[in-house]
Amino acid sequence: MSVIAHIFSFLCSQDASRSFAVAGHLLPVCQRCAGLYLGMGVTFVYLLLKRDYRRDLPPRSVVYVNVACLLAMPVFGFHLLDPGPAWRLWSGLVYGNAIVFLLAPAASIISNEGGRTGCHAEPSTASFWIFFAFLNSMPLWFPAQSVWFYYAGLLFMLVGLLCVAFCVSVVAVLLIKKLLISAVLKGVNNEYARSQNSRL
Amino acid sequence: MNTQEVKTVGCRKAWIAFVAASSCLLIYVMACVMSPPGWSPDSSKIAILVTPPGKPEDTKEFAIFVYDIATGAHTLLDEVKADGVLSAPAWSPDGKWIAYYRVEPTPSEQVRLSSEPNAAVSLGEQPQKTPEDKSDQSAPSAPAEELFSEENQMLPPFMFELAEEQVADKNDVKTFDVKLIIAAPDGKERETLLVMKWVGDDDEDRKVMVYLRPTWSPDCKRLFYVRDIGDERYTASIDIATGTTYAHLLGCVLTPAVSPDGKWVASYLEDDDTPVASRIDGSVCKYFKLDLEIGDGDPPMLDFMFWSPDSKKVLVMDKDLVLHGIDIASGQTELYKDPDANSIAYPVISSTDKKLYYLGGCRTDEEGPPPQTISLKRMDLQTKRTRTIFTFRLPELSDDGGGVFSISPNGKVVLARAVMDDAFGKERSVLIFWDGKTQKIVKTDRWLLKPLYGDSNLTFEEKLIGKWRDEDGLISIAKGTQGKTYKLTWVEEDKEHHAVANLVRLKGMTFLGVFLDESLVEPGSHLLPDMFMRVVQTEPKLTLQAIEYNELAEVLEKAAESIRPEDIGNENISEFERVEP
Repeated sequence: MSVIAHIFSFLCSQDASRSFAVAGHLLPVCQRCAGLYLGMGVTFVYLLLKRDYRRDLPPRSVVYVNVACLLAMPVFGFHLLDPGPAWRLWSGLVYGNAIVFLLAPAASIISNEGGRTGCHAEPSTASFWIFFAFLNSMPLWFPAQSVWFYYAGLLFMLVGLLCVAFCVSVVAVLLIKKLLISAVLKGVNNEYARSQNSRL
Repeated sequence: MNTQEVKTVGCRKAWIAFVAASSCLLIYVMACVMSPPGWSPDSSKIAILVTPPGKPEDTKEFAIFVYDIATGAHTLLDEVKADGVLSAPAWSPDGKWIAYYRVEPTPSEQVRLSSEPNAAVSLGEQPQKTPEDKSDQSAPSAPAEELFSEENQMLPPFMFELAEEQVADKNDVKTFDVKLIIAAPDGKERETLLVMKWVGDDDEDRKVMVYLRPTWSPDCKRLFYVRDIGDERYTASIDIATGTTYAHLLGCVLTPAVSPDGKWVASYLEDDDTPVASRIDGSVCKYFKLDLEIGDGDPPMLDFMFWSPDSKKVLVMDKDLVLHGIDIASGQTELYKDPDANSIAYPVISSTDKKLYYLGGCRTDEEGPPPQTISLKRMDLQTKRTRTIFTFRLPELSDDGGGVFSISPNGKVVLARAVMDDAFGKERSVLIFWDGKTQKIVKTDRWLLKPLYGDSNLTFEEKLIGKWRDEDGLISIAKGTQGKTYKLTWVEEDKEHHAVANLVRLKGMTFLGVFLDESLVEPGSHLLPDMFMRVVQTEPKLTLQAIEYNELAEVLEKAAESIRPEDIGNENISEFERVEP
């Protein structure tokens, strides 16, 4: 557990008085960060199951909701409004959800160089709304005082963190590959390589 | 649009989404990790218990303030009056919280105070985690289990059993409730972590609180506190997140000594001259029988016991201000002495270079004269090499104790709490800062006062202007540089003094509010004069009557509509004759 706490120490202030205690164990992140990483983890699992992220970016209505969630964070994050632990968790949850909803499909499309896999039909948003409602209800019952819940929470938080790390590294690897191809194999001044890169 | 173009457009959108999401996450993480705390142990601010002049244990008014040394701004964290008490505050290592103990006034005092304006403490949010809102009155007697309410009693269990038996044997054990509170340095958030019972009921027992403070664990997750169980005390801790409490060890130490690695806590068995070090998890408890004495029956200094930076030694200060280092592995003792200074006083391990900073030249004998100069010194605990950082001269202090000192965590600033006479000869509590180059004096009594008047009460009378003489000397009253202010000049002991005054009408009477510092009457500052003078008459003679701030506040509170002369009495009246130009 100390390893996980150490990892999260680079990402969170770990204010103990602002952290959830689950069955006598302290979560290694503050309440807002717990929401963020849980939101990212749960959303990533949802996207993996739905596989929508491979098709395209989310539908416009979902993007609007996600942008609204991103914009809500400064209000709570800068403590313009700080009504308590449940709200801190909620602001983190919807923020994490929005980030993964944008990040995962974007990384998938970039890694496929603009191509999509799967059918191109407009995906249904009904499941998103159900999932979003579930996320919004989490602050009402979180945390359940059980050791299993503590470990499940930790697991989802790690999944959320790994999701971001995976998406960023996929894109980073692609970028490095492109740069290597253009700079080393085809020459820095190669017109064809430059045009290929500019199309990206 | 062909397939390639669709791919290109899709790729662009994906890049925008990717960059937006990554940036949002990055900004959030940076904001969370690097969010500036209200105070970091960078020595830029202090949290201090402020009391009126006099011994802290005799006072009826306590307030904890956060003072910004650079800007001079002070923020009230908490206050209590009557027989309530606040302890010294303790900053968390991350600077985000300040912990302290609070004893509420007894209910009868509370009822009286609730009628006073601004008497109620109304800062920040209501406590969120109060386990139970017990009334803070002295219970006639409490069962032993209430005095040992920690859920996890660590080693040595037999000592707690003995203490429990000791308490149980006494028929009439009186207790009072002590709250363990944490507050944000900006005063906006406050939380009661624990309400615990202490043995005792008289003022003496309560006022011990003034000399102690809780201690934070290095990771800020646990707060260590002491509990008084009559003839003994014990050190306990609370896990801030879960609220779980642990009793660690018995000992007289008022401020728990927690090792820098967060694994050990130390205390001292006063009767046996035995320092004790216990692992926080309770797995090891070591006793070190030593031939040294701590204090002469008075409460020991707040920080007479602390740890070396490597957590391998407990350092104990004896009554002669000599430092003893005890190796907790081998039990061997090492003496730390400064041959160039007669004392190692107010020691602190610097947070920056991990060296010992202390004051040399403090008197070790209460009967001796107060020192004139004091040195801030540094010692390398490895080599025992010492160095003088700077020497400073003490100003003339009213209290013969010579002030109570502390050294900033970075070892660069020395602070003294002392009492000095002002220009009127009145004793004022002050904070004196030295940084080796400058000396800064901050008066704190004003912090405890509430303004008695506002701009609407200000008035101005030309008749006051002129030169006036009484039996003691000459006073000149001229028009001040700002509107509705007077400039006062008088000579006392061949020294010219200056002050600024407001003339105010309060419930039918006229008073001069005299400020020794002109900047305090600037617009926007508090209207809190250093003293009040009732203007009894201006013709044919100027008659002034000095009245204390608290006395005037009380008279104003009691007077329904207008103040009568008999409410104030006829003491401290001075008559002045006009000196013709």
